[in-house]
Amino acid sequence: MSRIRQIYWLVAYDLRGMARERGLLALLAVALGLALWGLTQGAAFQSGAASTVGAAQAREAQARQDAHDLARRYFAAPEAPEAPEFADAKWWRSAFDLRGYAFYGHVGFAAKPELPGAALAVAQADVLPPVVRVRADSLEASRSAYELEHPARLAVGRFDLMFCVVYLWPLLLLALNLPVLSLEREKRQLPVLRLQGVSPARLLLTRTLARSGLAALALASCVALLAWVVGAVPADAAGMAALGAWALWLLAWSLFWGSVAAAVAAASTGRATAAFAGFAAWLVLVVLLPALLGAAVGLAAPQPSRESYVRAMRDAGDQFAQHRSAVLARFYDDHPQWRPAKTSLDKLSSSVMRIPRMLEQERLMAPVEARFAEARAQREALFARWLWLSPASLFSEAQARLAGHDTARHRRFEAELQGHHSALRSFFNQRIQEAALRDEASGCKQTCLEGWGFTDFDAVPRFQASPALQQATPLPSLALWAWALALLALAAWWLRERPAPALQAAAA
Amino acid sequence: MAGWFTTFAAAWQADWRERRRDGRVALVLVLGLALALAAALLSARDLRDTAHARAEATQAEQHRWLHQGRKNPHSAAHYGVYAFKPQSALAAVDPGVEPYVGSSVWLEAHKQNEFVYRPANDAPGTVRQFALTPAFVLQVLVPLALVFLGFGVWAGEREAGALVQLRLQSARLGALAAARAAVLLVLGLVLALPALAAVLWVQGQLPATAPAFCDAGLRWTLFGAGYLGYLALWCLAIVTVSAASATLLRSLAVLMGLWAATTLVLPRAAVEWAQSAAPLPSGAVFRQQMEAALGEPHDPAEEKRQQQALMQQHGVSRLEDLPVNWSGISLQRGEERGNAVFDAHYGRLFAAMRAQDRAVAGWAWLSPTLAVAGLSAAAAGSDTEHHLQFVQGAEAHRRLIQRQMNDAITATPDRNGQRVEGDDALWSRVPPMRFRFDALGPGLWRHALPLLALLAAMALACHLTLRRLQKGPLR
Repeated sequence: MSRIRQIYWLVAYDLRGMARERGLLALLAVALGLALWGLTQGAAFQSGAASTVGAAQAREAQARQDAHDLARRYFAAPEAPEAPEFADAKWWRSAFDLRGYAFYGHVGFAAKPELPGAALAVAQADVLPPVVRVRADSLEASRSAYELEHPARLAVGRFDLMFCVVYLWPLLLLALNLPVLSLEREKRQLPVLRLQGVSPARLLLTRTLARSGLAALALASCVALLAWVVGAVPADAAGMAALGAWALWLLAWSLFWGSVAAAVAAASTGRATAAFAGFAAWLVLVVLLPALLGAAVGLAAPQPSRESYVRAMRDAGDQFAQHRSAVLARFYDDHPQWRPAKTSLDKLSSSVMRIPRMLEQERLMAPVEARFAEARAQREALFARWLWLSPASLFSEAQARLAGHDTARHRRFEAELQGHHSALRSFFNQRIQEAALRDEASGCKQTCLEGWGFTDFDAVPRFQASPALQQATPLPSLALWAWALALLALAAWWLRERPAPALQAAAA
Repeated sequence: MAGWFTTFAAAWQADWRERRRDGRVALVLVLGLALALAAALLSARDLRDTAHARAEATQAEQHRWLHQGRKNPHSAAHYGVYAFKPQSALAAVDPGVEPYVGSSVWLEAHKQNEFVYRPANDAPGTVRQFALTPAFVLQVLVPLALVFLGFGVWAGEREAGALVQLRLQSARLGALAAARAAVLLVLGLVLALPALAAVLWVQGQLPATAPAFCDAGLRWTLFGAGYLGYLALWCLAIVTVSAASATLLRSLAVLMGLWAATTLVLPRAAVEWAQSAAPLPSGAVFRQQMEAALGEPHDPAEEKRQQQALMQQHGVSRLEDLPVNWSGISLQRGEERGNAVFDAHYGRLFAAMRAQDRAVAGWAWLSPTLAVAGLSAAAAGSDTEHHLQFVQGAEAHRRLIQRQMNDAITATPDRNGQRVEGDDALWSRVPPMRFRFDALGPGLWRHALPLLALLAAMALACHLTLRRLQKGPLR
């Protein structure tokens, strides 16, 4: 009980002293101000992303409605298109023509669902787009689509809450905690405190943990309040859960830095040395270790060059052009129900063989795709395996996952996008092949319902994100706590009570 | 004056000797060199591999184009070629925006495609703020190392009370400060050596086909002078702050604050500010508007008028009787109409990007890191401006291909609906794309001027602080 009272008085006395230090309070205020500005930047980014997704979905719905209206007007009198709008109609510009709709008129998007904590970290969201257009022919166009951003902005990085918390917050915690023991050392107060039953280890650990914990509490409260005021996080259970998870990670991160400061303060003899060593620790932990982890992963699992990918893609295109007849013959052997009755395979129109050509190119590209996917998976697996080695990377990854802006979630989105694209292409392929057969039979001079006419716009597959994509994948914080405990143990070991040399000799 | 140099030389020797004996200096230097070396090796290896892969892919594309066989020129225009962005040896030190812009573009008929395959999209994890490159080492880590090495150059003496003795001896504080700053600068330059080695190594490893700058000498000079000025500025700042601080701790705190503000906070604040000063449209809106403009129907009346005029000029009444092929003319008309749409839309986009560059450069008056980063990337050809130059160069080549193909169709009159075919002779009429970056223009001063001004201001501040140290109150 007396130990708890002692800890209470140590903390209370320390906080009273801190409240008189205007410099530290000003620093805390600056750090909080920067973090809150970071939050507003993240919220503004997320609001922009949400508008983009909303606009895409509205455009998709509008395009479908326009296609419906156009087809209704056209097919009202298809044999006598007197309306001026159909006088010079070209199939590739007409949504009522299946070929025109499938390859030009169809507007479909795939969007990553927004998570409640999205404003808390921009992370990879400015590099990996939240919404992509999906076309029937090429998946590659969707996979390599980007949001428009100034490249220098991407290179420098965002000033969001994650940047503040990962890079600037530790500097504040070091400034708060590094002088804890060195001041008592410089004033030679430690022997007096020892006489009063306060060990240096207890003094150091109590003060650093209390200061870090309270600073974390202040930041978490300010962020929660501002998030609620500006609507950066939804005011519902999901939003509260996201903020709660974020605050827990912040606490772990703050206590980790408290323990770094404790270890440095335990081993340093003066304030200047402690400051020197503390900032060196900051540099190693938040800049060097993440950079080295990234470099090591890149070296261990190198990505094949994208130039080789382009060459393989071009080779696949050339191969199709060389063996077009054989490829089409094989395609119609596999799908005899679609084999043209009158048209020879070398006279097939480009729109009929467009999807078979894509399928063949994908078949030829499959080994290359597999090589790239394998290298990427290997890199990401290596990164995930060694993440615990770099606390800053671990914390950043956790923030990104909470926001839903992590790479792993985007890969899952890409996998679902690929599935949706296959469904969309199969849908159009089947309809196009069947329409080609009808067109052969009917011999319509212009788009007609017995030929290329198309009205079934509502049946076209639409992207639907899976439930798994609609929630964050939490990252366990065990490694960060383990780091913090190890550093605290190191600090306590450094400050352990050692018998005087004379007593040691007597014991021996 | 001779006395000044004598004091300088003596102070240099004393400081150098002291630093050689100081284990902390050795530790900082060894760690800094190891990091700089790792960054230089990784970056140089990456650039060499990329340059070779792009050179081989460019040659393969040229071969593919020349040997595509007999086909209609418009089919050849659709077949197109891929263009790969070249990189200079200096980009081994400063990759600039390279990881965040696409590396290649498909040049085909009717479309100005976007660049694809950004290296950043293939990177694992979420930490991309501080990539380990020589530029990062020089712009961010070397100043930090200098702060660690130099925060006590005057504050230590002041805290220990040795300043009184110096003043009693009428020591030339200017010469002492210059010597200490010079020692710091030399230590900083030692950390820059791996970057220099990387550039020289990459220069020797680049494929023969790699493009050279037309003003390579100027770029190398600016690159070196920029970093020299930047490090000198930091040395002066460290000496000034240390001389103005009463204690070691205060000196370290002020310098760390300065470092964090100028290298961490201001560059990010600047790009956020630039986005609000000249916002870019969202990708979806930009592409939708461009598609809508491209999809607007041709002007059939104008087309008819042109056909009539052409038939009148050649004295025929049917298109089939013209000595030229109307299809080629029509295709070129379509291209020119598309080009006007691309110029308008991409023109606005690129203008907004350039406006953002100017807005960011304005912040260089507050942060020398921004100034040197801009100067370094511009000299290395790895900034946004050089990327836009390549985008426009690639587009010009695309238009050249289209014109050649359409001219070939136009030159073959339409007789009995016979299909126009081209062969190797036609394909070889399209020269391979030989892109050269423009010489550095006056835009360079946007970065150089703030750096020079900050250097001059810091020299003045240093002079005033030392004068105060010499003649002002001791506490």
